[in-house]
Amino acid sequence: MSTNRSDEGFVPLPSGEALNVDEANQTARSSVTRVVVPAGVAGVGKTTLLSEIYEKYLEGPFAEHRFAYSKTLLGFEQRAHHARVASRRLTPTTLRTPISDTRAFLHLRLAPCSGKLPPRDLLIADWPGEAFREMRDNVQTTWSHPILARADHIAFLVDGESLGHLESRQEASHEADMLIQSVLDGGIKRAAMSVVYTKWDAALAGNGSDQLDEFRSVFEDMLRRKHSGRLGELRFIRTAARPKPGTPFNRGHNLDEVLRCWLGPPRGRLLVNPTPHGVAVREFDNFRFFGQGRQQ
Amino acid sequence: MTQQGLLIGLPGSGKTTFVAALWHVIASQDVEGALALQILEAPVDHLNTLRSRWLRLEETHRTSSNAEDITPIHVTQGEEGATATIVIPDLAGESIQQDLIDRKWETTFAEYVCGSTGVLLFVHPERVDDSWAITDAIEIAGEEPQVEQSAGEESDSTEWHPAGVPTQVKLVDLIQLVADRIKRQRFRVAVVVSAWDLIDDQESPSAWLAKELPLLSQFLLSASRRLESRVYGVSAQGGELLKDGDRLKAVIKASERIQVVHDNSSVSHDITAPIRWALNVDEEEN
Repeated sequence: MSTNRSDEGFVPLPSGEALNVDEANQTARSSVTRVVVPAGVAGVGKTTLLSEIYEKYLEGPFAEHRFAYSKTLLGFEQRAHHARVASRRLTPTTLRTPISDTRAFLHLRLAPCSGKLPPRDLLIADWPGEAFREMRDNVQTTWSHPILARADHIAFLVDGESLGHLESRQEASHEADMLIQSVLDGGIKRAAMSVVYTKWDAALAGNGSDQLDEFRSVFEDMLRRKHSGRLGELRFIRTAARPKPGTPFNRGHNLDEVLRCWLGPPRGRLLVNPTPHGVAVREFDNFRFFGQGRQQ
Repeated sequence: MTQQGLLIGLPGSGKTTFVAALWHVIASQDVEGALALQILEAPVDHLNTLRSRWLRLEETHRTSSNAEDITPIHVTQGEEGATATIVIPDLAGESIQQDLIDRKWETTFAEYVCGSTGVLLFVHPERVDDSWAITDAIEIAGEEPQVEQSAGEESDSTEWHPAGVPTQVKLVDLIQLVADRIKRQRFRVAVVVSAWDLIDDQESPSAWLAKELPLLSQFLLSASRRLESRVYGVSAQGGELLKDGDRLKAVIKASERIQVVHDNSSVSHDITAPIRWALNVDEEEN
């Protein structure tokens, strides 16, 4: 974990910010860690989703788990700031994740409330949307992200607000489909996968809301038809992480279901080479990333 | 063996008043079952100064940098009780908070943490900064939601700064850092909710912590392999100095101003109980 410069007579402390790849690697090696990649283009709501899961733990146990530790408390706090009264904003928002940000992994250790199982570590990638736009447009880009091969869960985020509007729903569904296609064609076989609709409150308020269920059903059927052989069981979850006041959703709507998915097991064993021809490795190696991927 | 107590908390969390009342009880030896002074071997001028202010019902601010001096106190419990030496430095909450921002500890403090045998973590119920969501505020105010703007469009908005982190996050950050460094395989944390007389509800200190500082409460419950925790409600003054001054002055034995509550126990005046438990001075205590 990174530390600040050590002055004489002082001992540096961990920064508390999001982790870079090396620090994430170290964390993944030191414990049984679930690595999660929320995937989606800019503005889809990746960081808001992560912030609101964190906010839930500020209020108490969530999704049958208690907060147990975090190496990135300040990283979460930075991301949550602009949705709080303390920011002096009138409307909540989330700052875009900068493309240049090399500190892109958030860490949570969660303990089952039952006490019967040990705590589990979650490493969640908070990558900028541009990274996924590149992946969507160029399958070879997926190979430069070794973490995708290590990931236990990839959640494809689909902008519900766009799905709810006649002008934008076709493009939003096409973008999600192409990103899934690219990740699968990139040889990613280990991770369990889900489709998470974000901003579902805004979807219901759009000018296409009366056709929303039908459009969603067609979209889901298309994904199953195209990818079912490679995707395995694909779950679809409708969320409203930070719904607008006056809508029929509470804050963090269905984020518990998202988190349960992330804490679940991956589909398969790790592949050494994140190409369609990768080979399986020892179980021990499931707990680390690989080599020199691009530090996003 | 010296039992090294680590008393930590944010500014104004009640550490100094606790130390003043604690020293009074240890020195006066008039609370049954409490730790009692065995012998003086080191200067205790700052402890005496604090005690005098506490007895005069004055605010017990930290006195000087000397307050961070580490004074060993030789204590015993009961007539035939085991003896122990405890050290309980009154560390400045301002320094502790600034260190969380600067992300560094003085080497001497880091070494002290490393060798500590137990921790007392102080929280003042009226100094808890919350993390109120804007959407919740709008909901409560009953106002119409406004058109969403992107970050930066609201000129009065503030940038994030670590000083503005909610109290419970600061405390979890602090106790995580302590737990990462403390040498003992397993240690005890006594959470002291100070000014307990301000809590109107008849709830237990643990229930109060779970309600008001849920992240800290979850952390303490989840970290049971690394640490054991208890929550105490402590009113070291016995009331509010302005409002309850006359009542407090009328108490004959000053120690009886003190109120200590632990889950499933009645109110006592033994302010040494959190120390005894956290430092494992009395292994017999339940």
